[in-house]
Amino acid sequence: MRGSRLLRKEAFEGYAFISPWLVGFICLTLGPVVFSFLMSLTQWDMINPPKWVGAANYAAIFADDFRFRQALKVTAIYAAFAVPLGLVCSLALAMLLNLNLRGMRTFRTIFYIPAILPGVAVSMVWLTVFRPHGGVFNSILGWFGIPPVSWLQEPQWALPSFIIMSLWGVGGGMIIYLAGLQSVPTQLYEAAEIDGAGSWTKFRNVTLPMISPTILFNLIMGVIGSFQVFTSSFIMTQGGPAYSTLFYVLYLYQKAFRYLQMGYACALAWILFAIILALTLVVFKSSARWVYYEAELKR
Amino acid sequence: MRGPNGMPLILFSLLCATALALSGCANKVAAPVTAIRFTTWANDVEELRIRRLIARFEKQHPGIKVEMEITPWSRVLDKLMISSAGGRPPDVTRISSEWFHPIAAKGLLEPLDQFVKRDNYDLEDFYPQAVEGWGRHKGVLYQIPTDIDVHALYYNKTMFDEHNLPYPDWSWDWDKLVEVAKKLTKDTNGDGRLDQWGYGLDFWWQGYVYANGGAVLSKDLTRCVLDRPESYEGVQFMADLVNRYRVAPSDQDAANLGVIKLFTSGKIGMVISGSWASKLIFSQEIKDFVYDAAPVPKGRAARATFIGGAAYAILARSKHKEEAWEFLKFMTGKDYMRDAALKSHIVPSRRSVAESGAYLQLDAPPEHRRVFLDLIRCGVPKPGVACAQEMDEILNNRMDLVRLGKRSAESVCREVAPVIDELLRHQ
Repeated sequence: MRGSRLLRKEAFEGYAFISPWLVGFICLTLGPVVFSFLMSLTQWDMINPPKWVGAANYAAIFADDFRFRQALKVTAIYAAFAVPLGLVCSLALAMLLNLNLRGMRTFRTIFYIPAILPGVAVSMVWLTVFRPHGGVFNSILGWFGIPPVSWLQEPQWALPSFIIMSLWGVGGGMIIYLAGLQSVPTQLYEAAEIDGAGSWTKFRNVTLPMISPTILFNLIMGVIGSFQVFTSSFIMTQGGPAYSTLFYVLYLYQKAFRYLQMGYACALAWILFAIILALTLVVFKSSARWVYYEAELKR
Repeated sequence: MRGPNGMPLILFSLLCATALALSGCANKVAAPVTAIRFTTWANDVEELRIRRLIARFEKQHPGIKVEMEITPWSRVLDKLMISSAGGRPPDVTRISSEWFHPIAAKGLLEPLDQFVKRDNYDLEDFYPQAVEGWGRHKGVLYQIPTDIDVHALYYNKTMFDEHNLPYPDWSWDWDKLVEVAKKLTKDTNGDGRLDQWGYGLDFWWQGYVYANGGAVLSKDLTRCVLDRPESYEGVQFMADLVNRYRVAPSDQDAANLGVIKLFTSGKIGMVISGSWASKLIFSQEIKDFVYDAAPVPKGRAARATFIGGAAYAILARSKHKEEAWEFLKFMTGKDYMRDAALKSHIVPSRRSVAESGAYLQLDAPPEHRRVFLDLIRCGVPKPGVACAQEMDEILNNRMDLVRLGKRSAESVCREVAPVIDELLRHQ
């Protein structure tokens, strides 16, 4: 009897201790999540009371919303290029910054800084970088006699411009790779060297498998991040020209806050959630084939 | 924290505040003062002007106090929406014609017809284009217009003189525009690239549609009629100015500075822009040439120009509508407009003020200011549909393709018309 009272008291105290987190989670996360799903089944302009429409928003999105299809296309193309490019470049950068040179800490800081700068400021800088006349890129192209490119004014160049710009953020992935690279035990390299491995073989057969969990992490974060691009297109192009940079979240924002179709926007958000969830699950499932965990081997 | 006698500090301070408030009331012998909240956007000049008017209004109406809330132009719509949703909107607000119809369609504004009728308000003094354009929505009067923004053809007089060309006037049509613009377009530094243009494209592509005898929507506002030849041929003319006649900078050429900056830096001979631009932009940016305003050229069928502006409205959820109407009457009166014309060079929506010296005899360029008043009758306001903003955004994105010369106006307009039809059905 006594024991169970003590247990109950202990349980109560336990809940009391985690209650700030619980309350926060229920009020600030779970509540809005449930609310947004309910709203996705209504027509709601945030002023007049919501009107129940069932699955009509979802039906309209899939049946005849050309902007939804465009937004999905733009975002998918962006992700298909920006994610692999980011993975490769940040790994390459991390390997360079993993060399033992004087002043390496300074270099690491310099390459990481772009990743923590605020998106709005960065977008403003890139606007000038992409300027057709006098912008950094076109000036460089001009040295080789290449005529100026209208980066953000031409529909076929605007999205590639954003993909190029995504490289600005490789510092974030780099710092995680660096941690991964530094945790690779040196004796593995030594053993490989004794077996006569060259630097490519060492990279292919030691480094890559050992940092594969880090690659998985960066891949998932990259996919999620590229499906959530918003600030840069909001500041730089507003989705134009001709919807060539209409990223999914930008379209969602326009629907919700510019055209006041919150119900429709909630439905868009849930579809995005489903897409990201599915992609993440696919990546996770595939990871059993290519990600190597040291702990598993020991078992 | 604790106050005296161990009372919680908050409770103590509340008590003090109540006591203070009570003693304040006791001094004035129960003169009930109603505070109304008024939202507007304003630059420094305008803020000072409005504050002075409010002081005069409060003197005339001791029972009403006006709290002015200044919000940037681009945020007023959000503010109205959010505060209405939250149940505490302002009582009176200034509204731009850009977002009037969406707001009115949401039922946020109080109908004014009964007030106007009861007080015999002199609505006849106002330009009908303004009252119909952004005063009424679906036949109901929701706001009283104050400022008019009407677009005219600004031209660089000095550049015209240097080239010995006649100034634009009422006889000009599109052919004449192209003919003169060609003579002004050149490569001045010989690097093989144009750096001076006769004309610059304004953002309002709709103007070319209306001038060509076409329209964006049908008269009953239920269908998009851009797919008719008279409509899309107007759009095509606009694109031709860039891609065929090559008398206007392309989007790429204008990307660095923007068309207006190109004009104020003397690189463009003619540009269509709003009446407000002379005071707010040109007076600061134009240093080394003389400019003037002229009528927009006549298209193949008509002369059409942009008209829009600002107005005052009462929020439907206001609890002090009578006081709000008193204030609204004052703010749309002749004093207000005379003041706005004199200090901010705004085209007044009251004909009696517009035609007076207060506006016409301002001592500042453009010399032929009258053109703005004469162009009001050619003004085409934004169509009165709830989805106006979404529609414009879709259309603007499609028109990018035409202006860039990627596709013909005909194919784009034929493709986009059903999309707009669908949007109109579901608004």
